[in-house]
Amino acid sequence: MNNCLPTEDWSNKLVFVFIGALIAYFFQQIRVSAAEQIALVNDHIKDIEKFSDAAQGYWLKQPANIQEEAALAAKVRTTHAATTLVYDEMSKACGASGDKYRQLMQALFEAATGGSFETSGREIDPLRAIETHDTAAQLIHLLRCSRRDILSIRRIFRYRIDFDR
Amino acid sequence: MIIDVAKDFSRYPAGRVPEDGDNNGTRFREHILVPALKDAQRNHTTVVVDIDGVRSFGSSFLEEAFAGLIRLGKFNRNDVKKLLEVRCTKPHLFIFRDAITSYINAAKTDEQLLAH
Repeated sequence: MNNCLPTEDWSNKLVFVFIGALIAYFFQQIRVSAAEQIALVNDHIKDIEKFSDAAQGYWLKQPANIQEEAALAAKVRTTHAATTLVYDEMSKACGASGDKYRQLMQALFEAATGGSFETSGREIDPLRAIETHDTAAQLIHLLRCSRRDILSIRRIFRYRIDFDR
Repeated sequence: MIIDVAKDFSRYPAGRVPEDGDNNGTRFREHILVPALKDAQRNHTTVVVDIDGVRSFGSSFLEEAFAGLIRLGKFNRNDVKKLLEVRCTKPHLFIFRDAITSYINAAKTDEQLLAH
């Protein structure tokens, strides 16, 4: 009769299995969330590279006419728009470097679309092209460093992980 | 008073001066922003600039429109900070809201620039 009913020993084992499954589920969710964030960071890095390339193309080419100027500027604007889509999310993903990320994103925006951007008397500006490339490189470096931080276990205890994403 | 940039001005603001096109920063500053800020100053109210409907900005436009207020001596920095509020609810436009704040904070008058 005793063999058919769960004993105290059995129920203890069940509790351990349940807790183990819960912990495994928790870490799996963290892994999935981190993997999603890393994929987002990788895509963001590619978008920044495209924006930087478009801006360099803009500042290193003297447009032949107004149409060409508008086309070059439109390319810079559209590639920039792709980088801004995740601006808020990335500042959070960068954790402690969030402020530095926002600062560099603004510096990149300023370097690429400042000065005589979209103005009639716009001339080739190699210094602005270099500044754009340099700022983009710093930003990409910061994002690559943040990828390591996203994978870190310590981060779980430092920042809230949003499983609803 | 609320200025809806997309409705009251353009969804595609661009350039600094009139030669750069109709939707330039100088026109926005002189025809929309300055009168609204003067009005707000007189009536002790604030001006809310809503940028939600705009597709994107060029940094040159933002610098001309907002930092230009201080650079050209139309208002001092404290007045601009007190009278102007930028409203933005779309996360992809937060960078432009931050840029406006940063241009206002960094703006120098022409005299200050010459002194340097």
